[in-house]
Amino acid sequence: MEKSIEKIWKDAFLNEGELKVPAINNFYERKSMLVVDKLISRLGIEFKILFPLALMVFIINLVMGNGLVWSTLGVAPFVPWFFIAHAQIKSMKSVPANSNCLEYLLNVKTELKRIFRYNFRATIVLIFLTSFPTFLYTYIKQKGKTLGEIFGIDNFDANALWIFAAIPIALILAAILFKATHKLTNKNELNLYALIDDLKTLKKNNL
Amino acid sequence: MSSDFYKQFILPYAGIIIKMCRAYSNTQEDFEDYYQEVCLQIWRSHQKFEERSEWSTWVYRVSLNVCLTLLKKDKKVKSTFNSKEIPNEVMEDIQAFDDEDLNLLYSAIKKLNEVDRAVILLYLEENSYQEIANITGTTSNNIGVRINRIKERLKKILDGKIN
Repeated sequence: MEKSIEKIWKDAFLNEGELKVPAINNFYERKSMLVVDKLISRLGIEFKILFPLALMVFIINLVMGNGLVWSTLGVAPFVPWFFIAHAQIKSMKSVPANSNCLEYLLNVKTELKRIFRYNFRATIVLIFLTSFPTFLYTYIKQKGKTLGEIFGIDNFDANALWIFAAIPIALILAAILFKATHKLTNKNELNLYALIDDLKTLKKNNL
Repeated sequence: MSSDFYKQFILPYAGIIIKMCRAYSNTQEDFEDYYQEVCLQIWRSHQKFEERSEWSTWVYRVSLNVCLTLLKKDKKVKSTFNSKEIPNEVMEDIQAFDDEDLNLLYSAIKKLNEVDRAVILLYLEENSYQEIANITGTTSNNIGVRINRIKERLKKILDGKIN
């Protein structure tokens, strides 16, 4: 061999600027699909979280001595939520993709915000619907007992009526937790917003 | 991500990405797919870049990973579709450039195993042994030995072709 491999390489790439870079076909479309896919899969995870949550409510009811029937009823509000969550995933998937990339992402963003608002309200309502009858039933069933006696805590002589104070506390905590969790786990959403900003800039600069 | 992410962070390294994709793909169509996938993966993973290494090293590493992953996928598809060896005409379908010697070198490089291909490409791109070791996840001593062995092998393949 006359030439070394180093020389062949160097001679061939003396002017790297002349390298023909392949066109990036639909680069932004592919990125958009990727971001939206991740958002949908995230919704899927949230949907699956409903199962352990329902189980937790069921166990709490059992621990409070509410019996099997009442514990099962306590889980009932989760049933429509399963369907709602399922419908939300479907609605995200059915955002029309035949529009241009920017329009598609803006539609996804609107849909996502609508889902977030809906879920926030639904969480609050669901917690109220689950906790109020539970506490009401506990209060009626255990009438005359102190809070300490209901929960098996010694020297806790508060009136059983105080059990209802747990409802607003739970609602406030749920609202804080919901927003905090969303802030901590909204990486995909931020990617979506960044992509929208990108496309807006590209459109503005006619690129 | 800034709007000119591609221009700013990918295009300056298009050279090595192209060279690497050429070394792992067998057809023009495959090559373009590999290139797009590498660019997409660089964008996808740039948030994980922690500046512990040079950006170029990161680009090399991502390119290599994508090429190896795609190659494995291709192999799977091909082995399910047809277990016979890929015919030579397909292997030669993608011509690197007008340079005949370079095309010969590329076809010789394609006869190496996946990791050796990456090592020799990075060596030809004048990366240090340490940099190559960082990218391929091995030691610089191992790289030194490996490069000598690969060069001998390439020389044999090229001599055979030329003669």
